[in-house]
Amino acid sequence: MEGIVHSLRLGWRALLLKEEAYQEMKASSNPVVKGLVLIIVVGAVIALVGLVGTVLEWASTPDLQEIKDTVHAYLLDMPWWDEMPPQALEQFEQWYELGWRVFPSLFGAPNIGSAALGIITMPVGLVIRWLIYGLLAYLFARWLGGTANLSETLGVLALAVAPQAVNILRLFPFVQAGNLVAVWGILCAYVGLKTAHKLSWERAVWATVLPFLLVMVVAALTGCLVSALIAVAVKGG
Amino acid sequence: MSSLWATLLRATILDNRAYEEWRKRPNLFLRGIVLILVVSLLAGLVSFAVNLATLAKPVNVAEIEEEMKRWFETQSQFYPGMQDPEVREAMKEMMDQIVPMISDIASIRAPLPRGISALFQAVGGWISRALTAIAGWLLYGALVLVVVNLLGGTAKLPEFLGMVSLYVIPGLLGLLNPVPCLGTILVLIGTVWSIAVYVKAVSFTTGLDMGPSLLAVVAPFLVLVLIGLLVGLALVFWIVLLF
Repeated sequence: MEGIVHSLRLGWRALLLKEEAYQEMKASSNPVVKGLVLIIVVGAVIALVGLVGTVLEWASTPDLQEIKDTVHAYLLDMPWWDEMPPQALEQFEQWYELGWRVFPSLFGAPNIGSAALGIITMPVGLVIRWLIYGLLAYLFARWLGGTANLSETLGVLALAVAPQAVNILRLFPFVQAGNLVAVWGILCAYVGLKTAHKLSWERAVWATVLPFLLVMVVAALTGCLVSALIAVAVKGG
Repeated sequence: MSSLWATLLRATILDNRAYEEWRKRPNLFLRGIVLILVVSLLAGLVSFAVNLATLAKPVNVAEIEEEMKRWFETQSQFYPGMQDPEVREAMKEMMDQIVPMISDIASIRAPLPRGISALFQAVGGWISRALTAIAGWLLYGALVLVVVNLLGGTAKLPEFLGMVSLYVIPGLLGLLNPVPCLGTILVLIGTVWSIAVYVKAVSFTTGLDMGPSLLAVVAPFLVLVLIGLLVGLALVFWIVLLF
Protein backbone atom coordinates (compact mmCIF):
# COMPACT_ATOMS: atom_id res chain seq x y z
CA MET A 1 0.00 0.00 0.00
CA GLU A 2 2.84 2.34 0.92
CA GLY A 3 4.40 1.62 -2.47
CA ILE A 4 1.20 2.62 -4.27
CA VAL A 5 0.91 5.84 -2.27
CA HIS A 6 4.54 6.65 -3.10
CA SER A 7 3.90 5.94 -6.79
CA LEU A 8 0.86 8.22 -6.74
CA ARG A 9 2.92 11.01 -5.14
CA LEU A 10 5.54 10.48 -7.83
CA GLY A 11 2.75 10.68 -10.42
CA TRP A 12 1.58 14.02 -8.96
CA ARG A 13 5.09 15.50 -9.25
CA ALA A 14 5.37 14.10 -12.79
CA LEU A 15 2.07 15.77 -13.61
CA LEU A 16 3.66 19.08 -12.64
CA LEU A 17 6.50 18.30 -15.10
CA LYS A 18 9.11 18.17 -12.32
CA GLU A 19 12.25 16.56 -13.77
CA GLU A 20 13.28 15.08 -10.41
CA ALA A 21 10.18 12.83 -10.45
CA TYR A 22 11.33 11.31 -13.73
CA GLN A 23 14.90 10.99 -12.44
CA GLU A 24 13.61 9.20 -9.33
CA MET A 25 11.59 6.78 -11.46
CA LYS A 26 14.60 6.10 -13.69
CA ALA A 27 16.79 5.42 -10.66
CA SER A 28 14.27 3.16 -8.89
CA SER A 29 15.05 -0.55 -8.56
CA ASN A 30 12.33 -1.80 -10.92
CA PRO A 31 10.81 1.03 -12.96
CA VAL A 32 8.72 -1.25 -15.21
CA VAL A 33 6.87 -2.94 -12.32
CA LYS A 34 6.44 0.39 -10.54
CA GLY A 35 5.11 1.97 -13.74
CA LEU A 36 2.80 -0.96 -14.42
CA VAL A 37 1.28 -0.74 -10.92
CA LEU A 38 0.80 3.03 -11.30
CA ILE A 39 -0.95 2.62 -14.67
CA ILE A 40 -3.25 -0.17 -13.43
CA VAL A 41 -4.21 1.77 -10.27
CA VAL A 42 -4.84 5.04 -12.15
CA GLY A 43 -6.75 3.22 -14.93
CA ALA A 44 -9.00 1.32 -12.50
CA VAL A 45 -9.74 4.41 -10.36
CA ILE A 46 -10.53 6.54 -13.44
CA ALA A 47 -12.81 3.82 -14.83
CA LEU A 48 -14.66 3.55 -11.48
CA VAL A 49 -15.15 7.32 -11.34
CA GLY A 50 -16.24 7.25 -14.99
CA LEU A 51 -18.84 4.61 -14.13
CA VAL A 52 -20.38 6.87 -11.46
CA GLY A 53 -20.39 9.82 -13.91
CA THR A 54 -21.97 7.64 -16.64
CA VAL A 55 -24.74 6.48 -14.29
CA LEU A 56 -25.53 10.13 -13.46
CA GLU A 57 -25.41 10.99 -17.18
CA TRP A 58 -27.79 8.14 -17.96
CA ALA A 59 -30.14 9.35 -15.21
CA SER A 60 -30.09 12.86 -16.76
CA THR A 61 -30.81 11.66 -20.32
CA PRO A 62 -34.31 10.93 -21.68
CA ASP A 63 -34.94 7.29 -22.66
CA LEU A 64 -33.32 6.84 -26.09
CA GLN A 65 -35.53 3.85 -26.97
CA GLU A 66 -38.60 6.02 -26.41
CA ILE A 67 -37.12 8.79 -28.59
CA LYS A 68 -36.29 6.25 -31.29
CA ASP A 69 -39.87 4.90 -31.28
CA THR A 70 -41.41 8.38 -31.31
CA VAL A 71 -39.30 9.56 -34.26
CA HIS A 72 -39.99 6.27 -36.07
CA ALA A 73 -43.75 6.63 -35.68
CA TYR A 74 -43.73 10.21 -36.99
CA LEU A 75 -41.41 9.41 -39.91
CA LEU A 76 -43.68 6.58 -41.04
CA ASP A 77 -46.57 9.04 -40.98
CA MET A 78 -44.84 11.41 -43.47
CA PRO A 79 -46.80 11.97 -46.72
CA TRP A 80 -43.89 11.07 -49.03
CA TRP A 81 -44.25 7.29 -48.40
CA ASP A 82 -47.27 7.23 -50.75
CA GLU A 83 -44.99 8.06 -53.69
CA MET A 84 -42.22 5.61 -52.77
CA PRO A 85 -41.86 2.00 -53.98
CA PRO A 86 -42.60 -0.62 -51.27
CA GLN A 87 -38.96 -1.74 -50.98
CA ALA A 88 -38.00 1.83 -49.94
CA LEU A 89 -39.76 1.31 -46.61
CA GLU A 90 -37.87 -1.92 -46.01
CA GLN A 91 -34.57 -0.20 -46.79
CA PHE A 92 -35.48 2.71 -44.52
CA GLU A 93 -36.17 0.33 -41.62
CA GLN A 94 -32.75 -1.29 -42.04
CA TRP A 95 -30.89 2.04 -42.15
CA TYR A 96 -32.93 3.43 -39.26
CA GLU A 97 -32.07 0.46 -37.04
CA LEU A 98 -28.41 0.61 -38.04
CA GLY A 99 -28.28 4.37 -37.44
CA TRP A 100 -29.69 4.01 -33.94
CA ARG A 101 -27.17 1.29 -33.14
CA VAL A 102 -24.18 3.36 -34.34
CA PHE A 103 -24.87 7.07 -33.80
CA PRO A 104 -25.86 7.30 -30.09
CA SER A 105 -22.53 5.81 -28.98
CA LEU A 106 -20.66 7.96 -31.54
CA PHE A 107 -22.21 11.08 -30.04
CA GLY A 108 -21.46 10.04 -26.48
CA ALA A 109 -24.80 8.62 -25.34
CA PRO A 110 -24.24 7.18 -21.84
CA ASN A 111 -23.69 3.43 -21.84
CA ILE A 112 -23.51 1.96 -18.35
CA GLY A 113 -22.46 -1.48 -19.65
CA SER A 114 -19.37 -0.24 -21.47
CA ALA A 115 -18.54 2.12 -18.58
CA ALA A 116 -18.61 -0.89 -16.21
CA LEU A 117 -16.51 -2.89 -18.64
CA GLY A 118 -14.07 0.04 -18.58
CA ILE A 119 -12.88 -1.10 -15.12
CA ILE A 120 -11.10 -3.89 -17.02
CA THR A 121 -10.61 -2.40 -20.50
CA MET A 122 -9.31 0.99 -19.33
CA PRO A 123 -6.22 -0.32 -17.43
CA VAL A 124 -5.59 -2.93 -20.14
CA GLY A 125 -5.85 -0.28 -22.89
CA LEU A 126 -3.52 2.08 -21.03
CA VAL A 127 -0.96 -0.71 -20.52
CA ILE A 128 -1.06 -1.70 -24.23
CA ARG A 129 -0.66 1.95 -25.33
CA TRP A 130 2.17 2.41 -22.83
CA LEU A 131 4.04 -0.66 -24.11
CA ILE A 132 3.67 0.20 -27.82
CA TYR A 133 4.50 3.90 -27.38
CA GLY A 134 7.30 3.05 -24.91
CA LEU A 135 8.95 0.64 -27.30
CA LEU A 136 8.75 3.02 -30.28
CA ALA A 137 9.91 6.01 -28.22
CA TYR A 138 12.81 3.95 -26.84
CA LEU A 139 13.93 2.97 -30.35
CA PHE A 140 13.74 6.57 -31.61
CA ALA A 141 15.42 7.97 -28.47
CA ARG A 142 18.32 5.51 -28.79
CA TRP A 143 18.59 6.28 -32.49
CA LEU A 144 18.83 9.97 -31.58
CA GLY A 145 21.65 9.32 -29.10
CA GLY A 146 19.71 8.59 -25.89
CA THR A 147 21.35 6.68 -23.07
CA ALA A 148 18.53 5.08 -21.02
CA ASN A 149 17.66 1.40 -21.35
CA LEU A 150 14.20 0.03 -22.23
CA SER A 151 13.23 -0.58 -18.60
CA GLU A 152 14.09 3.00 -17.60
CA THR A 153 12.27 4.38 -20.66
CA LEU A 154 9.12 2.44 -19.85
CA GLY A 155 9.39 3.58 -16.22
CA VAL A 156 9.50 7.30 -17.03
CA LEU A 157 6.81 6.94 -19.72
CA ALA A 158 4.50 5.28 -17.19
CA LEU A 159 4.50 8.66 -15.43
CA ALA A 160 3.01 10.16 -18.62
CA VAL A 161 -0.20 8.41 -17.61
CA ALA A 162 -0.50 10.88 -14.71
CA PRO A 163 -2.67 13.37 -16.69
CA GLN A 164 -5.35 10.66 -16.77
CA ALA A 165 -6.02 11.93 -13.23
CA VAL A 166 -7.88 14.83 -14.88
CA ASN A 167 -10.53 12.27 -15.78
CA ILE A 168 -11.49 12.28 -12.07
CA LEU A 169 -13.63 15.25 -13.15
CA ARG A 170 -15.77 12.82 -15.12
CA LEU A 171 -17.44 12.19 -11.80
CA PHE A 172 -19.49 15.20 -12.92
CA PRO A 173 -21.68 14.01 -15.77
CA PHE A 174 -21.16 15.53 -19.24
CA VAL A 175 -17.57 16.64 -18.50
CA GLN A 176 -15.16 15.98 -21.40
CA ALA A 177 -11.40 16.13 -20.79
CA GLY A 178 -10.13 14.29 -23.88
CA ASN A 179 -7.77 16.85 -25.46
CA LEU A 180 -6.30 17.97 -22.18
CA VAL A 181 -5.30 14.44 -21.15
CA ALA A 182 -3.68 13.79 -24.54
CA VAL A 183 -1.73 17.08 -24.72
CA TRP A 184 -0.58 16.94 -21.10
CA GLY A 185 0.43 13.29 -21.55
CA ILE A 186 2.63 14.23 -24.54
CA LEU A 187 4.33 16.97 -22.49
CA CYS A 188 4.98 14.49 -19.66
CA ALA A 189 6.43 12.02 -22.18
CA TYR A 190 8.68 14.78 -23.56
CA VAL A 191 10.04 15.67 -20.10
CA GLY A 192 10.44 11.96 -19.29
CA LEU A 193 12.37 11.13 -22.48
CA LYS A 194 14.51 14.27 -22.22
CA THR A 195 15.40 13.53 -18.59
CA ALA A 196 15.92 9.76 -18.84
CA HIS A 197 17.86 9.78 -22.11
CA LYS A 198 19.74 13.05 -21.40
CA LEU A 199 18.68 14.38 -24.81
CA SER A 200 18.83 17.97 -26.07
CA TRP A 201 15.41 19.65 -26.41
CA GLU A 202 15.30 19.15 -30.21
CA ARG A 203 16.09 15.46 -30.01
CA ALA A 204 13.67 14.95 -27.13
CA VAL A 205 10.91 16.61 -29.21
CA TRP A 206 11.62 14.25 -32.12
CA ALA A 207 11.79 11.18 -29.85
CA THR A 208 8.39 12.19 -28.41
CA VAL A 209 6.56 12.90 -31.66
CA LEU A 210 8.12 10.35 -34.04
CA PRO A 211 6.08 7.40 -32.64
CA PHE A 212 2.88 9.41 -33.27
CA LEU A 213 4.05 10.43 -36.76
CA LEU A 214 4.87 6.82 -37.57
CA VAL A 215 1.40 5.68 -36.48
CA MET A 216 -0.21 8.56 -38.43
CA VAL A 217 1.75 7.72 -41.59
CA VAL A 218 0.80 4.04 -41.30
CA ALA A 219 -2.86 5.01 -40.72
CA ALA A 220 -2.82 7.46 -43.67
CA LEU A 221 -1.25 4.87 -45.99
CA THR A 222 -3.81 2.28 -44.86
CA GLY A 223 -6.57 4.85 -45.48
CA CYS A 224 -5.20 5.55 -48.98
CA LEU A 225 -4.99 1.84 -49.73
CA VAL A 226 -8.53 1.15 -48.50
CA SER A 227 -9.98 4.16 -50.39
CA ALA A 228 -8.11 3.10 -53.55
CA LEU A 229 -9.58 -0.40 -53.22
CA ILE A 230 -13.07 1.08 -52.75
CA ALA A 231 -12.55 3.33 -55.79
CA VAL A 232 -11.47 0.33 -57.90
CA ALA A 233 -14.51 -1.62 -56.69
CA VAL A 234 -16.87 1.30 -57.49
CA LYS A 235 -15.35 1.91 -60.94
CA GLY A 236 -15.30 -1.81 -61.63
CA GLY A 237 -18.97 -2.05 -60.63
CA MET B 1 -4.35 37.57 -1.88
CA SER B 2 -4.47 41.31 -2.53
CA SER B 3 -0.79 41.26 -3.58
CA LEU B 4 -1.60 38.44 -6.00
CA TRP B 5 -4.42 40.51 -7.50
CA ALA B 6 -2.14 43.54 -7.74
CA THR B 7 0.50 41.44 -9.51
CA LEU B 8 -2.01 40.04 -11.98
CA LEU B 9 -3.52 43.44 -12.73
CA ARG B 10 -0.10 45.05 -13.21
CA ALA B 11 0.84 42.18 -15.54
CA THR B 12 -2.00 43.23 -17.82
CA ILE B 13 -0.46 46.71 -18.16
CA LEU B 14 2.84 44.99 -19.06
CA ASP B 15 4.64 46.14 -15.89
CA ASN B 16 8.06 44.40 -15.70
CA ARG B 17 7.97 44.14 -11.89
CA ALA B 18 4.69 42.20 -12.02
CA TYR B 19 6.29 39.58 -14.28
CA GLU B 20 9.28 39.41 -11.92
CA GLU B 21 6.97 38.91 -8.91
CA TRP B 22 4.97 36.23 -10.75
CA ARG B 23 8.18 34.37 -11.68
CA LYS B 24 9.37 34.34 -8.06
CA ARG B 25 6.22 32.60 -6.82
CA PRO B 26 6.69 28.88 -6.12
CA ASN B 27 5.10 26.14 -8.27
CA LEU B 28 4.70 28.40 -11.29
CA PHE B 29 3.26 25.65 -13.50
CA LEU B 30 0.58 24.72 -10.95
CA ARG B 31 -0.22 28.43 -10.53
CA GLY B 32 -0.61 28.69 -14.29
CA ILE B 33 -3.11 25.81 -14.31
CA VAL B 34 -5.11 27.35 -11.45
CA LEU B 35 -5.05 30.80 -13.11
CA ILE B 36 -6.29 29.47 -16.47
CA LEU B 37 -8.94 27.35 -14.72
CA VAL B 38 -10.26 30.18 -12.52
CA VAL B 39 -10.30 32.81 -15.28
CA SER B 40 -11.91 30.40 -17.77
CA LEU B 41 -14.60 29.48 -15.24
CA LEU B 42 -15.23 33.15 -14.44
CA ALA B 43 -15.33 34.15 -18.12
CA GLY B 44 -17.77 31.32 -18.81
CA LEU B 45 -20.06 32.20 -15.90
CA VAL B 46 -22.60 34.11 -17.99
CA SER B 47 -22.72 31.39 -20.69
CA PHE B 48 -23.19 28.83 -17.90
CA ALA B 49 -26.14 30.78 -16.46
CA VAL B 50 -27.73 31.24 -19.90
CA ASN B 51 -27.27 27.52 -20.71
CA LEU B 52 -28.74 26.49 -17.37
CA ALA B 53 -31.78 28.72 -17.88
CA THR B 54 -32.28 27.42 -21.44
CA LEU B 55 -31.92 23.76 -20.47
CA ALA B 56 -34.16 24.03 -17.41
CA LYS B 57 -36.93 25.78 -19.35
CA PRO B 58 -39.60 23.49 -20.87
CA VAL B 59 -39.48 23.35 -24.69
CA ASN B 60 -41.74 26.01 -26.21
CA VAL B 61 -43.30 24.32 -29.24
CA ALA B 62 -44.99 27.50 -30.48
CA GLU B 63 -41.63 29.28 -30.44
CA ILE B 64 -40.02 26.46 -32.48
CA GLU B 65 -42.87 26.58 -35.00
CA GLU B 66 -42.49 30.34 -35.32
CA GLU B 67 -38.72 29.95 -35.77
CA MET B 68 -39.19 27.34 -38.52
CA LYS B 69 -41.66 29.61 -40.35
CA ARG B 70 -39.24 32.51 -40.11
CA TRP B 71 -36.42 30.30 -41.46
CA PHE B 72 -38.59 29.23 -44.41
CA GLU B 73 -39.53 32.83 -45.24
CA THR B 74 -35.86 33.90 -45.14
CA GLN B 75 -34.81 31.01 -47.38
CA SER B 76 -37.63 31.83 -49.80
CA GLN B 77 -36.10 35.25 -50.42
CA PHE B 78 -32.85 33.64 -51.60
CA TYR B 79 -34.36 30.64 -53.41
CA PRO B 80 -37.42 31.74 -55.41
CA GLY B 81 -38.28 28.08 -56.08
CA MET B 82 -39.39 27.84 -52.45
CA GLN B 83 -42.18 30.34 -53.16
CA ASP B 84 -43.88 27.81 -55.43
CA PRO B 85 -47.36 27.02 -53.91
CA GLU B 86 -46.66 23.27 -54.16
CA VAL B 87 -43.39 23.59 -52.27
CA ARG B 88 -45.12 25.73 -49.65
CA GLU B 89 -47.85 23.13 -49.27
CA ALA B 90 -45.27 20.32 -48.89
CA MET B 91 -43.41 22.40 -46.33
CA LYS B 92 -46.60 23.02 -44.36
CA GLU B 93 -47.38 19.29 -44.36
CA MET B 94 -43.90 18.50 -43.11
CA MET B 95 -44.14 21.10 -40.35
CA ASP B 96 -47.48 19.63 -39.31
CA GLN B 97 -45.58 16.41 -38.62
CA ILE B 98 -42.33 17.80 -37.23
CA VAL B 99 -43.76 20.22 -34.66
CA PRO B 100 -45.84 17.62 -32.77
CA MET B 101 -42.86 15.22 -33.02
CA ILE B 102 -40.62 17.77 -31.28
CA SER B 103 -43.32 18.30 -28.69
CA ASP B 104 -43.58 14.54 -28.03
CA ILE B 105 -39.78 14.11 -27.85
CA ALA B 106 -39.52 17.03 -25.44
CA SER B 107 -42.09 15.40 -23.17
CA ILE B 108 -39.96 12.24 -22.74
CA ARG B 109 -38.57 12.47 -19.23
CA ALA B 110 -35.16 11.47 -17.86
CA PRO B 111 -35.12 9.54 -14.55
CA LEU B 112 -33.86 12.67 -12.76
CA PRO B 113 -35.97 15.86 -12.58
CA ARG B 114 -35.46 18.32 -15.44
CA GLY B 115 -33.83 20.94 -13.19
CA ILE B 116 -31.13 18.54 -11.95
CA SER B 117 -30.46 17.18 -15.46
CA ALA B 118 -30.15 20.76 -16.72
CA LEU B 119 -27.76 21.62 -13.88
CA PHE B 120 -25.59 18.57 -14.66
CA GLN B 121 -25.46 19.43 -18.38
CA ALA B 122 -24.69 23.10 -17.79
CA VAL B 123 -21.98 22.35 -15.21
CA GLY B 124 -20.51 19.66 -17.49
CA GLY B 125 -20.26 22.09 -20.40
CA TRP B 126 -18.87 24.84 -18.17
CA ILE B 127 -16.09 22.63 -16.76
CA SER B 128 -15.34 21.10 -20.18
CA ARG B 129 -14.77 24.56 -21.70
CA ALA B 130 -12.33 25.41 -18.89
CA LEU B 131 -10.46 22.11 -19.47
CA THR B 132 -10.29 22.89 -23.21
CA ALA B 133 -8.76 26.27 -22.32
CA ILE B 134 -6.06 24.50 -20.27
CA ALA B 135 -5.39 22.08 -23.17
CA GLY B 136 -5.06 25.03 -25.56
CA TRP B 137 -2.68 26.82 -23.21
CA LEU B 138 -0.45 23.70 -22.87
CA LEU B 139 -0.39 22.86 -26.58
CA TYR B 140 0.11 26.39 -27.87
CA GLY B 141 2.66 27.16 -25.13
CA ALA B 142 4.72 24.09 -26.09
CA LEU B 143 4.66 25.10 -29.77
CA VAL B 144 5.68 28.69 -28.94
CA LEU B 145 8.56 27.34 -26.83
CA VAL B 146 9.80 25.30 -29.80
CA VAL B 147 9.92 28.49 -31.93
CA VAL B 148 11.53 30.41 -29.04
CA ASN B 149 14.30 27.80 -28.89
CA LEU B 150 14.76 27.95 -32.67
CA LEU B 151 15.11 31.75 -32.40
CA GLY B 152 17.84 31.41 -29.78
CA GLY B 153 15.80 31.99 -26.61
CA THR B 154 15.72 29.56 -23.74
CA ALA B 155 13.35 28.55 -20.94
CA LYS B 156 12.26 25.45 -19.07
CA LEU B 157 8.87 24.12 -20.13
CA PRO B 158 7.01 24.29 -16.77
CA GLU B 159 8.29 27.77 -15.91
CA PHE B 160 7.59 29.01 -19.44
CA LEU B 161 4.02 27.71 -19.33
CA GLY B 162 3.53 29.24 -15.88
CA MET B 163 4.72 32.64 -17.11
CA VAL B 164 2.67 32.75 -20.32
CA SER B 165 -0.48 31.75 -18.39
CA LEU B 166 -0.78 35.46 -17.57
CA TYR B 167 -2.20 35.97 -21.07
CA VAL B 168 -5.54 34.67 -19.84
CA ILE B 169 -6.37 37.66 -17.60
CA PRO B 170 -7.66 40.01 -20.34
CA GLY B 171 -9.91 37.09 -21.31
CA LEU B 172 -12.09 38.18 -18.38
CA LEU B 173 -13.54 40.71 -20.81
CA GLY B 174 -15.35 37.65 -22.20
CA LEU B 175 -17.72 38.10 -19.24
CA LEU B 176 -19.16 41.06 -21.15
CA ASN B 177 -19.70 39.04 -24.32
CA PRO B 178 -23.52 38.96 -23.96
CA VAL B 179 -23.68 42.80 -23.93
CA PRO B 180 -25.36 43.69 -27.27
CA CYS B 181 -23.01 45.20 -29.91
CA LEU B 182 -20.34 46.21 -27.38
CA GLY B 183 -19.72 42.59 -26.25
CA THR B 184 -18.09 41.44 -29.49
CA ILE B 185 -15.84 44.52 -29.59
CA LEU B 186 -14.79 43.97 -25.97
CA VAL B 187 -13.96 40.31 -26.68
CA LEU B 188 -11.87 41.44 -29.67
CA ILE B 189 -10.04 43.97 -27.47
CA GLY B 190 -9.50 41.20 -24.90
CA THR B 191 -7.99 38.93 -27.56
CA VAL B 192 -5.54 41.55 -28.83
CA TRP B 193 -4.67 42.45 -25.23
CA SER B 194 -4.06 38.76 -24.42
CA ILE B 195 -1.64 38.50 -27.37
CA ALA B 196 0.23 41.58 -26.07
CA VAL B 197 0.54 40.01 -22.57
CA TYR B 198 1.64 36.70 -24.15
CA VAL B 199 4.38 38.43 -26.20
CA LYS B 200 5.56 40.35 -23.13
CA ALA B 201 5.66 37.14 -21.03
CA VAL B 202 7.63 35.33 -23.77
CA SER B 203 10.11 38.18 -24.05
CA PHE B 204 10.50 38.43 -20.26
CA THR B 205 10.95 34.68 -19.70
CA THR B 206 13.19 33.79 -22.62
CA GLY B 207 15.31 36.92 -23.01
CA LEU B 208 14.23 37.44 -26.63
CA ASP B 209 13.51 40.96 -27.92
CA MET B 210 9.90 41.96 -28.57
CA GLY B 211 10.15 41.38 -32.36
CA PRO B 212 11.32 37.73 -32.17
CA SER B 213 8.89 37.18 -29.26
CA LEU B 214 5.99 38.36 -31.43
CA LEU B 215 7.21 36.06 -34.20
CA ALA B 216 7.42 33.13 -31.74
CA VAL B 217 3.83 33.76 -30.60
CA VAL B 218 2.36 34.15 -34.11
CA ALA B 219 4.42 31.50 -35.95
CA PRO B 220 2.70 28.36 -34.52
CA PHE B 221 -0.70 29.77 -35.52
CA LEU B 222 0.48 30.42 -39.09
CA VAL B 223 2.12 26.98 -39.31
CA LEU B 224 -1.03 25.25 -38.01
CA VAL B 225 -3.19 27.12 -40.58
CA LEU B 226 -0.74 26.18 -43.33
CA ILE B 227 -0.70 22.50 -42.29
CA GLY B 228 -4.51 22.51 -42.19
CA LEU B 229 -4.65 23.96 -45.71
CA LEU B 230 -2.07 21.50 -47.05
CA VAL B 231 -3.84 18.50 -45.51
CA GLY B 232 -7.16 19.74 -46.91
CA LEU B 233 -5.65 20.23 -50.37
CA ALA B 234 -3.99 16.81 -50.25
CA LEU B 235 -7.32 15.22 -49.32
CA VAL B 236 -9.16 17.01 -52.14
CA PHE B 237 -6.39 16.05 -54.58
CA TRP B 238 -6.59 12.39 -53.47
CA ILE B 239 -10.39 12.28 -53.81
CA VAL B 240 -10.23 13.89 -57.30
CA LEU B 241 -7.50 11.43 -58.29
CA LEU B 242 -9.55 8.46 -57.11
CA PHE B 243 -12.97 9.31 -58.49
